[in-house]
Amino acid sequence: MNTKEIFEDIQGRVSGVAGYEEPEVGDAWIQVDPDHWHSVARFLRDDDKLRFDMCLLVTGLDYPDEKWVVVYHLHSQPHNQRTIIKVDLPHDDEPSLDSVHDVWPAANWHERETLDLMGIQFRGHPNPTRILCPDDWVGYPLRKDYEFPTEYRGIPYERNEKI
Amino acid sequence: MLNPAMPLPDDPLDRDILIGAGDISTDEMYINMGPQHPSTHGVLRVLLRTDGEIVTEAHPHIGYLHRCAEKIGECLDYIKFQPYTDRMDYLAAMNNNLGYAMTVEKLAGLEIPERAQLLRVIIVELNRIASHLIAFGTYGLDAGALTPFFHAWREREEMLTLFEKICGARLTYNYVCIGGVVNDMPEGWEDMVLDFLDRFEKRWKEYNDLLTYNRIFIRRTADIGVITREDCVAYALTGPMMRGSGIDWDLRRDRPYMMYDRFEYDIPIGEGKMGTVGDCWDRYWVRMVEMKESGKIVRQAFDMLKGAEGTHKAKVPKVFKPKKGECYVGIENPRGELGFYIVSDGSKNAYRMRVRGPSFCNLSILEKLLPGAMIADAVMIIGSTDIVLGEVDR
Amino acid sequence: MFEQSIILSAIRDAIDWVLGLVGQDISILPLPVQVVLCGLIAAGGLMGAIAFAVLIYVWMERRIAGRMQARRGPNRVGPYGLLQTVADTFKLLRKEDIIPTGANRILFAFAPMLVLAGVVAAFAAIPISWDADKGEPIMIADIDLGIFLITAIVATEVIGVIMAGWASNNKWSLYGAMREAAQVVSYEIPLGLSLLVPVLIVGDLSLGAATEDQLGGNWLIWRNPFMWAVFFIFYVAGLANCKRAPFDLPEAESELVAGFHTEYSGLRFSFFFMEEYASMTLISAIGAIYFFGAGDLFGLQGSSSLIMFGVLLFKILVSIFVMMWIRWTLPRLRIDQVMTLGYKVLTPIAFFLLLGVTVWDLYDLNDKLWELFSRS
Repeated sequence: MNTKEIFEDIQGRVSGVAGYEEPEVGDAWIQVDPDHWHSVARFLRDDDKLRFDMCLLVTGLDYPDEKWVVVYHLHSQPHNQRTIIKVDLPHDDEPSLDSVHDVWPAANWHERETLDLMGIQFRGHPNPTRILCPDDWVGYPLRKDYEFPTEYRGIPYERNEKI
Repeated sequence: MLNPAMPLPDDPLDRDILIGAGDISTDEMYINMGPQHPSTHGVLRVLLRTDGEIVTEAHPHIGYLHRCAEKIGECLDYIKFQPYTDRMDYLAAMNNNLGYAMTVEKLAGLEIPERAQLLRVIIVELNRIASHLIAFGTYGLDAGALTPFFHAWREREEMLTLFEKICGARLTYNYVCIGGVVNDMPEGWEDMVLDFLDRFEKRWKEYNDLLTYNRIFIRRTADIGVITREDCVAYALTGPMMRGSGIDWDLRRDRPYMMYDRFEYDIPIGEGKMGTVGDCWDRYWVRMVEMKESGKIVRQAFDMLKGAEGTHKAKVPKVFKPKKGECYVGIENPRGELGFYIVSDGSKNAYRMRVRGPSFCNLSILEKLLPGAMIADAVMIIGSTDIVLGEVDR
Repeated sequence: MFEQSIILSAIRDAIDWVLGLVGQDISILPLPVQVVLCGLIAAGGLMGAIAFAVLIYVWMERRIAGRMQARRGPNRVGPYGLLQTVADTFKLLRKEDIIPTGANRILFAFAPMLVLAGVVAAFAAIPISWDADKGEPIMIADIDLGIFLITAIVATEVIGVIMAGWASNNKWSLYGAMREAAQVVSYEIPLGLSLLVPVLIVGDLSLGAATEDQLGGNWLIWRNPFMWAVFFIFYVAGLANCKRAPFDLPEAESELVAGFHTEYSGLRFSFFFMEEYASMTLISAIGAIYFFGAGDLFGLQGSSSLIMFGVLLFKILVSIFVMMWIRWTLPRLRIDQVMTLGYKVLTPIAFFLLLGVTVWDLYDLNDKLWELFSRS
């Protein structure tokens, strides 16, 4: 099944499926309502026709003044099919979404990375700490409004004297 | 001595384990494995909680090699980002180039000539051998056998010379580019590669005599770090990690890209030959067999190359602006599924560049795998995941 | 005192000769002073000889490793890279001597000396050759309890290693020390048992007596069918005692960084290095003397003690070569596998062999079989 067929299949069977979109080029995705995301995730994994048992990738997207988007790339090992799920969040300073680490343990580290670099909180995550940046890093580097710090712990970003 | 600050567990058995059944009391200890440690294969730090030699808890800490590759991807235009992909998985730079190039090509709708595709297959499979050679050599090193490492390095050195002949670089090749490959292969290169493959196949048997079937090595790896099929899928492990657990899955065959559906090759899976399915030995063996199978693919590709049409590169505009959209392409890297997810807003830079490093996902199972193992096993388990920290941290 | 030792009396004669140049005589020195003086000179000579041997061994090891690993090994400094280890020694001497902040300074400094001293001292009881005129072994101290003394004195090395590991204030070092304690102490059992067999046959604890017993090709290894197995156990247990691969767990570089000597640098580190090679030599020497006829080459060597020394040296070098060969071939065992091998395999077999040899000797089966053979 491709993403469109999957969307048509699950639309009536689970609540929270908000829509289907296709960009000009590339892959289509299914839009899911953030409040229902956890139950939809569980459904996607457990339903016999779908069996999306692998979470390949979690990505955070920042559209300033518009929305935060969390993208899930899913893969179904038994049916060899893939789909993309997007969850939109309102663009406020503290975006948060239900963690799906209990559905797909693989999402654990990806969610931490999304928190670290994009600043999206995952509710119910067992270890919501930074993963790539140091623990005391300020700001979220992949946000569009991120300003690079001039120094970190006394280490300047720019050299004063030439070598 | 028992740490007075630590409360005693309620379960009498746990209490016995913690303080010892008799007068001798034991204490658990936190110990840092890495970031500077000979067998963490880079700057990985694993915080181990140990009871004597046995690991009871493990917390991997990564990020020491974080170079903001995704941020750089947003700041540079598509062609300029190409060399940065080399630096992620520096042991399989060709494969990384390929993953990125394919994603951008899909976004831009470029058609790649047949000849370029075959050259890509050849170079990528050769790089897979080179990468697995390192996995093999360093795994011997982890087990305490230094000699296999040097033997593997001898062959890798020959391969690097082959790569140098075709693209001028020995580590960060930047050879597979958007639209094809940078240049056609030089004259006589084919014979050199085939020559090398003949030699390599003989030496492959030597490796097995030296390390694979060594009784000590088998006892160090069989039944150690067993990953079940369920865990494998749940943690989204891919590549040899997944095949080692007995899951017959390979992107090249099951979701074919480029011309992989036209080659004949076997996909090795772990069978529990020496112990349980999914143990360290199985993962190691899958890598060993994959080297041989890659050799087969390269030979077939050279045969096909004789009748292949087109040039080594399609016409690519100097600055290109793909349409608004997004796509994800996953390819079979030596370590697993390497995915690039690019969101384009129609400008000359990517709006969002996301990389799925296979090592990143493969590493995340350590937390579950290490408890219960001995310290020496922990080293073998980390070695069997065959991580490249450049890709984990990006 | 001096009657027991050819080397010590030779040193005394040399002092006597030197004093004779100024018109004096050795008898002006009281006997205790003579003993201490000669002993010091012998110890210095022994230390020097071992240091020199280690230079050669390290070069040998690196060349052999190079050969086995499809590379060359040191070949730039001096002919065949022979001076490479000399250069490395100077480098080690010039290195900063680092004592970590949290370390126990006294134990940290004392440990390498204790480790080396134990092994070097054991060489005093090793006969290096045979004096055919006097009918005595050439050695520093022909002690009646020879092999007993050696096993006892070498065991102090374990204490040194534990001290080093504990004093370093490093958890990896501590692991190395604990592994050493577990491993080496356990392997002393099969080692001791396998050494008991030649002692049983020779009927004397002194290694000098063993040398005498085997002159003329009558090596202990031929004496009864168990001896090869005994030698095998001795060699494996010996490897484990020297902490050589595949039993190099106390320093297991891929697991414990460098084990008990992680924090050591410069000269102190080189002491551990020397100890490893010295104990390899010791094990090889004991093996050569107790199983392969010491300096004897089926009587072909004649009565020259120099040639006998050369033959012994050759046997030691062969054994060391085999140790290096093993090291560059085999992966490392895990600590529980090492312990299992020691307690569940080597020790029971060693007991069985000891029993077998006893029975064999008790009923004189060699002679009886010979009679049976010659009658038919």
